[in-house]
Amino acid sequence: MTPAIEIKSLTKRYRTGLRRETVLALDHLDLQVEPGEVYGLLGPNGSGKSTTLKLALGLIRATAGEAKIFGKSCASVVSRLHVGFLPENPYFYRFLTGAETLIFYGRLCGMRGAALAKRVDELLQLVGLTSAASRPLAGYSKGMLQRIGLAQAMVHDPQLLLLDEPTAGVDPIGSKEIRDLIIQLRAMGKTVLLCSHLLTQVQDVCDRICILNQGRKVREGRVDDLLRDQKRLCITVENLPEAARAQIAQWVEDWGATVVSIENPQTTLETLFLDAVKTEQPQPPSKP
Amino acid sequence: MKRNWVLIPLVLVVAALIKLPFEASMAADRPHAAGIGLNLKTREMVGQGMSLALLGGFRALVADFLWISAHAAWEQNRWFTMRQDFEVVTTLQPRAILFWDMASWHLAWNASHAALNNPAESRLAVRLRDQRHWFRAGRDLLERGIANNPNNAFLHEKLAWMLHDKFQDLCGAADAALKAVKLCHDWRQGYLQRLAGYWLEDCARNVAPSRLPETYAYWRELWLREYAGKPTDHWDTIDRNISRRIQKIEEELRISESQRLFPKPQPSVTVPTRR
Amino acid sequence: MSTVSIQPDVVYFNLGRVWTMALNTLIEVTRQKVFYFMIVFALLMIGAASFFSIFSFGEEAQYITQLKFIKDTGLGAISVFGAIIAIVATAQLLPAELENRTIYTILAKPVHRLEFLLGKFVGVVLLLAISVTLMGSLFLGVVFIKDQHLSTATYHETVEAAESAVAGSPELKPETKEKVLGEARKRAEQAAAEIHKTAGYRDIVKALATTLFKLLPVAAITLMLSSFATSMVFTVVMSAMLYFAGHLVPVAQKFYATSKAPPGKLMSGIVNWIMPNLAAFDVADDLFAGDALPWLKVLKILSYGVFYLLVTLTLAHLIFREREI
Repeated sequence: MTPAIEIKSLTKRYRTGLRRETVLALDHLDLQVEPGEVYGLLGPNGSGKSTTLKLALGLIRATAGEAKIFGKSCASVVSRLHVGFLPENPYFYRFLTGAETLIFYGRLCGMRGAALAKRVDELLQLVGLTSAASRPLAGYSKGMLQRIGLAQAMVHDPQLLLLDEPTAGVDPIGSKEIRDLIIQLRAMGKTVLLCSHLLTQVQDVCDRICILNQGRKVREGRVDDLLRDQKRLCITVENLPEAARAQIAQWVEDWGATVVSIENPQTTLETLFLDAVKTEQPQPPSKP
Repeated sequence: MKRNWVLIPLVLVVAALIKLPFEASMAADRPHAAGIGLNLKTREMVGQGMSLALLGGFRALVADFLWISAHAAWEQNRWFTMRQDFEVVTTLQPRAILFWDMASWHLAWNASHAALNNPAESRLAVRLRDQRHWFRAGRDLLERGIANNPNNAFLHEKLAWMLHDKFQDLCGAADAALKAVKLCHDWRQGYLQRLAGYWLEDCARNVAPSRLPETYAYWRELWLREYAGKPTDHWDTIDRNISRRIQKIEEELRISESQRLFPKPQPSVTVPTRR
Repeated sequence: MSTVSIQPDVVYFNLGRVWTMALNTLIEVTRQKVFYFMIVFALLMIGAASFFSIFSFGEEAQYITQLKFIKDTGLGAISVFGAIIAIVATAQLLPAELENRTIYTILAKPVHRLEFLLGKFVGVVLLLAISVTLMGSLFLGVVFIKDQHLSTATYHETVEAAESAVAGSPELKPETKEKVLGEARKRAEQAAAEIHKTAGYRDIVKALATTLFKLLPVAAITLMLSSFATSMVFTVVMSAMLYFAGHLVPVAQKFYATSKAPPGKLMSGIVNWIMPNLAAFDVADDLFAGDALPWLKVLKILSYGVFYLLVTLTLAHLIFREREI
């Protein structure tokens, strides 16, 4: 099976300043993304994530090594037939409406006429922007811009999507919607390469992750495998009387293990927020 | 990146190989284009080139405004400012005949007149010298105009008049008028042809007698081409004038009877002498 | 999960994509108010020229000088504003895309860099064509109105003068009166025809065509500079300098032919061999002075503009395709 992205020994040196000093942005990176998975690319600022994305899209040339998308070299235009890209903080032509933006990008991908119009309607529905389709992008919120960005990345139905900080600056509701969309895309058989600083979100969505630092890969693997702490065990119980706690602690120590903590599990702040916003309507102040 | 080091110079070389003959062909199409096809002094060419480069499309407009300024300087008798403005205007628009004509006229006629009658200068000799300075300024400007517009009959005519009236150079005036005749193809031609003839005759009679045969040849050729056998207009005086002149020259040059256009009239009646 | 193979193997150059980019660029550029202001200013200048021409000169042959003033203003405005629009609009094409990051989303699509570059450029060319046509149409209209005004005024003046002279000489016979009036009418018609000829509409159209085709290589040079420049100010300043240098090519030719000193010869040689001869497009002065320039020769000049446009676009493409975004 052709990998969606195949990177072998990819190196990129930038020349800066008049004295031609070089900055090594990527140092012999090896990476492979299989079709149908959601792959997370993580790393601190300056670790080489943007460089990797730009190399994959042919926006810059590698100093050494190769990168291929579905077997085609990234330097060739044909490799971009099956890639969709959502950049960080996307800007589009602000005078175009949502629908016009998608039509513009669709035309650039060679789509025309009724087929394009149909695709645009589908996408607007998918990202939930049908009602805002005829409004200029200048009037869109950050979340709406991200969603139209996602739509333009998908306009030509690519098999691979490169998303750079898709939920940056988006409120928790929008953020959850985007994440649900990514999961939906995986269910549709698409491959997604995700770059993000919001680690909890990456954790929820990605199958595999890779951590870059100073141009090198420092960790890679399945999220479950990497995160699971093999040495400890969590048991969640319901309806346990208070009195049984001491007994269980004793029983664990009899086995030679150590009780690290016995406490109520916590839900996440996100779940609390979403519940509060969805279910509880603000109460009007009662009249004195 | 490296392939560009070869490709870019290659493109420039190929472009230069095509460009130079292309430009030569375009220049040949426009032999009188400002500054391009003419044999101007380098200084003049640089002046025109710079003005073209710096002012671009507004060159003509700046010239128009400077013209008004020159006009104002004339009205205020600021002759040197006026001359400077004229120099700039003609550099900006060397193809505008109007400017050369009027500017040289202002210099040779008006400025010189003011210099001759300058109330601030009591010495006649100095006034005469200044007057001649303005005559020369006018002629220089007009000659520059001719260098820029070598095929313009009007400027040659103006030069002829200037040489005639201001420099009393009859032969120079005649030569300029002859050039004007060669270049003129409109309704002024008839008038210029006669003017050139009169002045050529004046030159031959007063300055260079050796040019009388040339004068005869000129009048003869003109008469045969334009006047002989053609119906006269109601100003019969022109025909009579020219024919009388030809007749007189034929007498002076002793042209043989068979060659003459106007043979001596034979007496038709022999008047018997009274005894 | 079936293997995904990308068909076709090659993405061909597509004019449709170029046109999509061009239309988008045209809309983007026309939304910038600065170009509206420039065009409106040029239109005002041309309109005002008609008004101010009356005050321009106080000499004989007034119609010549009035029409000259209007023609000079009109062509001057179109030439200068056209050059400013050409340089500024082109200079901001790439920097705007880079700053707004819209270039990433576009080049991430299966779009050749050449298609992108050409598309942006064609958008500016459309803007220039529309601007010159708009300004040129108004200009021709103003000349036409002035022409009609002056020629009818001259006609009536001549005829009325003759009529009053005839009326003031009662001793003349009716046939003589008719002859005099007939001659006066003929002279008046000739004078009116002279004015029409001075307006020179065909020459104006030729001058407008060469002005527009001069702007094409100028814009292309700006594009070439911006394909490697990082600062828009640099691009604008360099373009303006090259614009000036282009007008000095005839002078450089003369220098090269007559100069003996190596530095002078080298510099003038470089200008002569590389720079387009922008002075060759300035046909207005010569046309208005009466030189004949048939359409075939005008087409030669226009094709020279296209030739330089192609050369410069080639250079821009060679530079831009290596640029790291």
